[in-house]
Amino acid sequence: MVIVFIRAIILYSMIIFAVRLMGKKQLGQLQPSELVITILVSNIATLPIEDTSLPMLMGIIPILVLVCLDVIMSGATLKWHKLRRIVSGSPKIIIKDGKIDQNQMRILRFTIDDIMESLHSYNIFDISEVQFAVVETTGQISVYQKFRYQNVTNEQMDFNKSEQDPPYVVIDDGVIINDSLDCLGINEEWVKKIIKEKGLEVKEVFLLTVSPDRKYKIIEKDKTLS
Amino acid sequence: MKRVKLCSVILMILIIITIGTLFMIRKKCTELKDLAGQTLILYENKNTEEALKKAEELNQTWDKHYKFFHCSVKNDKLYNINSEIAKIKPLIENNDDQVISELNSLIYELDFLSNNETPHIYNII
Repeated sequence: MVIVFIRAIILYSMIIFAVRLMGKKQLGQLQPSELVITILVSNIATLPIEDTSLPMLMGIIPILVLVCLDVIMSGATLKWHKLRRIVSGSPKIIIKDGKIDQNQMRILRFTIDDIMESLHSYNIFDISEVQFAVVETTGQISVYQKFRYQNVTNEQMDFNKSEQDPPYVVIDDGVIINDSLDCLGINEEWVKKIIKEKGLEVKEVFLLTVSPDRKYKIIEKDKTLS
Repeated sequence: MKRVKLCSVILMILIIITIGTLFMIRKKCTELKDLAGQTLILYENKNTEEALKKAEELNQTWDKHYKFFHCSVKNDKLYNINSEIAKIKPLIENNDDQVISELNSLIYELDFLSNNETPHIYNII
C-alpha cells in the first residue's frame, strides 16, 4: 500500500510537470495530437500505480517520451506549414452566405444539431443570419454574422472616449496586491486613506477595486462569517 | 522554442537511458548465463566443489544485479529466475541431478529475458 501511495505522489508530480511542459495551450482547447497525448498520459500513469510489479520507469519513460514528442512536433509544425496541416488539419468553411455546405458537414461528420448548438452560443437562431462559419482545427465553430445582423459598435456610432483599462483588484480578502498598485501608479498610503475615510482597516476589506481614473469600490468583509 | 529545446534534450537523455538499460540488461544476463553454464559444465564433470563455488558466485552476482533488474524489468519476469537460482546450491550439495534441468531452465529464462527486452519486430508489434 505504501508503494502505491508513493507511486501515486511521484506520478502526480510527473503529470503536473508534463502538463506544464506542454504549456497553457494544453489546458484550453485541445488540438488532435494534444487530445491523444492527454488520453494516453492519463492511461499510462495509472498502470504503475495499480500494478506494483511494473517498475515506475515503465510509467515515467512513456509519459516523458509522449510529452517531449508532442512539444517537438508542435515546434516543428510552427516551421513547416505542411506538417501542421497533416498533424492538426485545416479549418473548414461549413456555412457561407447563410447556406450550409452539406458535403463538408458529411466529411466532418457534423450533425445539424452540432451546428445549431454552436450558433446558439453566439445568440444566433437563424442560419440565414450567418455570413460565414468555420470549423476550426480544435472542432470549435467560429461564426461571422452578416453585416445587417451585427451589433452596432461604439466606433460606428461615433462615440469617442479615451481607451481605459478595467478596474484592478487592489485588496483581495484583506490583503493589498502590490502588482495592482504598481499598475495603477498608487501607493499603500492612498489605499489606507480611502479605507480610513469609510471607517475601515485593510483587514476588514473583502474587495477593493480601483479604476485608472481613481474611482473605487469597497466591499466590506461579512463579520458574521468569521 | 525554449520548451522544444528542453524536450529535445529530455528525449535524447531518455534515448540514452533506454538504450543504456538495454545494453546493461543484455550484459548482466550474459554474465549470469556464463556463470550458470560454467556451473553446469563443472557439475556434469563431477567437480562438485568447484560447481558449488560457481553457484555461490552466481548467487552473489544475481543479488548484486537484482535491484537493477527490479527497476528496469517487469517484476514477474524475475520471479522464476529468482527461485531457480535459490534452488541450485542446495541441489548441488545434495548431488541431485535435477540441478541440470534447473540450470538449463535458468539459462533459458535469462535468454528469454534478454531477448524480450531487445526490440525485435515481433515484440514491438
